[in-house]
Amino acid sequence: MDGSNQTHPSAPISLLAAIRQGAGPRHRVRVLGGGDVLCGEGERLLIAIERTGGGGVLVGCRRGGCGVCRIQVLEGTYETDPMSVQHVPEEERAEGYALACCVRPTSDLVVVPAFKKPPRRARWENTGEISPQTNEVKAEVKQ
Amino acid sequence: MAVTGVLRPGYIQLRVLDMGKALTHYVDCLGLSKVSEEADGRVYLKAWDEFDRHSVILKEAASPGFDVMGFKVASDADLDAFAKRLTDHGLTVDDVASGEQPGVGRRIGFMLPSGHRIELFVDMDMAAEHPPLVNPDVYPNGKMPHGMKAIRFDHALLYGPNIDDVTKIFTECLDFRLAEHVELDDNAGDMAVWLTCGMKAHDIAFVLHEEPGKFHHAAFFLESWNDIGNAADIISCNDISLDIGPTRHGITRGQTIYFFDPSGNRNEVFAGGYTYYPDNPTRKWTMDQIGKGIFYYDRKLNDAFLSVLT
Ligand code: FES
Ligand SMILES: [Fe+2]
Repeated sequence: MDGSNQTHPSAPISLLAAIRQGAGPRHRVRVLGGGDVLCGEGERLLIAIERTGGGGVLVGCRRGGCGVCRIQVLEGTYETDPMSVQHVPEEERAEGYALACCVRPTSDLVVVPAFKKPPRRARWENTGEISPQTNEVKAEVKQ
Repeated sequence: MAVTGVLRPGYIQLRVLDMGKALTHYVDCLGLSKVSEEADGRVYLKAWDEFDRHSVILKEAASPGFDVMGFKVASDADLDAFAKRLTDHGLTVDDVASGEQPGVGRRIGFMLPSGHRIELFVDMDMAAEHPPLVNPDVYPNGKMPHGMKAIRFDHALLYGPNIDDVTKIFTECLDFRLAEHVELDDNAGDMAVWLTCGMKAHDIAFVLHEEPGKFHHAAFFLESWNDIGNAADIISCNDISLDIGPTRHGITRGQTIYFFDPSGNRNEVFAGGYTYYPDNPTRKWTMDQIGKGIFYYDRKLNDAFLSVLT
């Protein structure tokens, strides 16, 4: 008898579901406009989103530099790795803004993507303020 | 001597969020060696096949990205001549005193209309550990290169506005040549340019971008396609954030892999690429073929290449 189109009783649960489930203690993160993601204890949120194919947040450098994974945390507690102040200035950190690749949830979270676009039609103006000691460049972006 | 004036890229200074993590990345993984750490916190590194004291400078800062790239120039007279040509072009040229970077003579610097600082220098001390000069073994002092075995800091790709002006400055004031470019539709200028001062397909490249002063990648040269595979192994073994590759560029024909340092600055290690002779004509890509130009195997551009920058 040909049983090839019958499901084998001991077939594992779907691999995709297993990947989404992750391992160990997990925090449920609701990404508004995306979906729910299970983030492992100590796991960085963006890595969990990437692992599970959860949408809504863009993946870039995964290291706190490029800012494309910027989110705002609306509910819950988390720790952060060092992240660029260009994308999350100190004052915004208090309002829950963070880079998802630097967020390690310590409870269930509700987050919303908050990607900041660079100024449109920016024009570079050399202000002439250059410190050769540090090579710090003072830029002025004109709209 | 056929290569005159601007000889080659000399150094790049990058900002990093955490110096300890940056050194693990650039020294242990990429394969550079640490030359010195100075009182102002800047750390100087070099690749094994470079004669000069340093080629990569790291500085801890609150946001990562690009500070400056310096090119080595043949003579003091050339340096003065370039200063004049840049000034005549309307740029503000400043002087940096000898010794501001350890082992480096006087430099001049200027800001490109793309928002990037470029410097020129003539003298840099020879590295304590340099490639052997007499009956030279393949590797310095019998020391095998480690990690990804980066041979040299090779080039950078920068993102910013006014790319057509930038091309003019490099070609008209500094005698670079345009090896390859991506032309915007409707004669609207260039989307991207690959500029060379010697016989490599590029020493610096730019992509048109609204925000000034952005950094796409610093590239390091490897010996072979096998070494790109070795780099890919190191990237996975050390949980380095991978961008794309191993793959190949249509533009410059380099075999390549892109990844990020622990602060999100993109690095490239590559092998191959064509030889550019100064009489070679400029090669052109059109916007509809840009995917194949950037990633020759995938033949499509990913969003990250255009939007993920520091
Ligand atoms: S992905 Fe670049 S900052 Fe998070
Ligand atoms: Fe490159």
